[in-house]
Amino acid sequence: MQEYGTRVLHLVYFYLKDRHLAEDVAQEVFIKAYRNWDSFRGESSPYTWLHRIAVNLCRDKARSAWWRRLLPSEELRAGSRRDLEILPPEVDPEEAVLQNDQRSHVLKHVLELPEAYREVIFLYYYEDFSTAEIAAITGQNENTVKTRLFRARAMLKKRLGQGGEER
Amino acid sequence: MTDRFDEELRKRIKAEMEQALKGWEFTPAMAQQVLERIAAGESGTGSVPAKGPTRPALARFVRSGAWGIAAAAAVLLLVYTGLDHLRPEHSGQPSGQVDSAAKVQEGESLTLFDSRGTTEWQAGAAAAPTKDAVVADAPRESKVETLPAPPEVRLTGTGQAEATETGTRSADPGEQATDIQGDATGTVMPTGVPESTDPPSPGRRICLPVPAVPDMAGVFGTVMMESAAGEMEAPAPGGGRVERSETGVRLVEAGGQVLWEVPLAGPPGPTQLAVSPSGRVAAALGSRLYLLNSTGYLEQAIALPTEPVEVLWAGPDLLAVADSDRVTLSRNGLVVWAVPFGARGMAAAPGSSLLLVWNEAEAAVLQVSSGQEVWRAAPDAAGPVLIRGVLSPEGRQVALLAATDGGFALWVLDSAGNLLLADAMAARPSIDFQGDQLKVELPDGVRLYPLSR
Repeated sequence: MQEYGTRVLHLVYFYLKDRHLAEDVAQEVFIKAYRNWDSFRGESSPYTWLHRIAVNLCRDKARSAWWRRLLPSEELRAGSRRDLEILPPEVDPEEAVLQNDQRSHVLKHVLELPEAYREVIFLYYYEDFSTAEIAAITGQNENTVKTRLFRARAMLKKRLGQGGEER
Repeated sequence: MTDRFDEELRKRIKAEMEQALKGWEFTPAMAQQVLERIAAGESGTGSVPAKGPTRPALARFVRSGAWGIAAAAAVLLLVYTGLDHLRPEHSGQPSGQVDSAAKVQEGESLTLFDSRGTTEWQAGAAAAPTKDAVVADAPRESKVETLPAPPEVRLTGTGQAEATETGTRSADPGEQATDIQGDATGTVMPTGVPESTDPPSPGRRICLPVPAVPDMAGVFGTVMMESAAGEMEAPAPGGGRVERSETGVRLVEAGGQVLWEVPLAGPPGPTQLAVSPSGRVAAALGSRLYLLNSTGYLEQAIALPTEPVEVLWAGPDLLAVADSDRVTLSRNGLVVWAVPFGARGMAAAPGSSLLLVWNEAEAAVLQVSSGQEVWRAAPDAAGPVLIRGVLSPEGRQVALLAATDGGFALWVLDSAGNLLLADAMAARPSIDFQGDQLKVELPDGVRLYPLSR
């Protein structure tokens, strides 16, 4: 818990977008890890294994209705008060991302992505997992992961370039 | 998709994530809660196998460097499982059981978060006054105090304050001793006022139908009020107001301009709203409590065990939360004290160190600093139903209004519980303190009652 606790906590937060729920679910991750330690075969790193547990728990939690009404998080709302600058349409969206200053709040847009896309963005860009590792964690085919990653990037590019919601 | 975009995206996500979550870590208190939940046999989720770990699995678990310390602490926890109920706020304690008005000493960081929202606000391991917490984190020793039984005052319609022996509702020393429980080392820790102290005498506490329009708004002026349009609002410093929006709260300045609006969750928005004299906002939505600063920034979101009946700022940073079982005072998310009083309303005053709480049957005055009950009053007959309490600006007097069969009864007591006034009226009055006078507005005029003695 000392080694992985904070990383698991942040991972869970990325799914649930609620700190207190994240703290609770992160604890559940370790409880489940404890109870299922016998099933850990050492084929992956403990961290990857914990991630898999966390991802499954978050998906379970995200399906429950009581969780859905707890949005948005404080980070989202903090970001909403500092909207992106709206750039002229002729500006290349990729350049638009790069031109935005530190107030651009990429994170806000990432958190607004659908869960499947948010998941791969987090694991790929924040956790630096490879697509193969992400596939192992999420239980998806690697090609599916690549596709989602591609789409998620496209969504982000569009949102960041337009400074608003993707249409 | 260029590499430059990828690199920049990675950099931004990492930077913003770290900035957003800076300082938010998996603390030893959280680790301790994991151990407690494991020790309690909690499965975590429905997908966790009900079967516990086998010994080989446990051995493997213990051998893991990352889990070694945790396992050791879990064993210690198991030893002291029986002491869980000695916590100031224990999860799963029967609601009807009277617990102590446990006082947590300043700075002892009694954390209140229970994000499951199903139990009491929980004591964090970092400073929970329990032995298992001490083992895990070696915190300072906490102190649990048993507060002495307060004097009881009976309200009568004759203007006579009737002080009763506390023994009629409080346990005698012998009874109290039976409720004291020792820990494994023989240290005696009181669990609080014995259960026999609190149950009312059946003759006086018969539940009667609540009047049709009970007014639960406090006198503090910062407590939520329902406007004519049904919108919940509370006055804010500077002449503006904080009001409920469809999904959250917003601050509207005196001129009508919305200065900020914060979404909290979907409709219908918060059910309780209070604004402190400095402009801090407490908004309750279901069993969630959100604390915002005067600029609308969310400072904390707190999971409460139950939906609060009322929230009230009892000081610049002291928030009182009443639910059906207890009144809890917290400062910046840390529980200061909790008393077992199922309040329907609360009132505080800026210049007072007292907190008035009441329900249909009785009212009590508490010390804000400690939760110590100064006095508790109840009508001496079953008829009146308390519907409103008002604390004077300096806290020197308390007015209680009750609905009776034939109208309304009004009592005024001083801060020591001495009855100053008892009167009856046919119509429901609007009551307010003006200096040392009580102003009572009735359909047929205004009455001023001098209260100085």
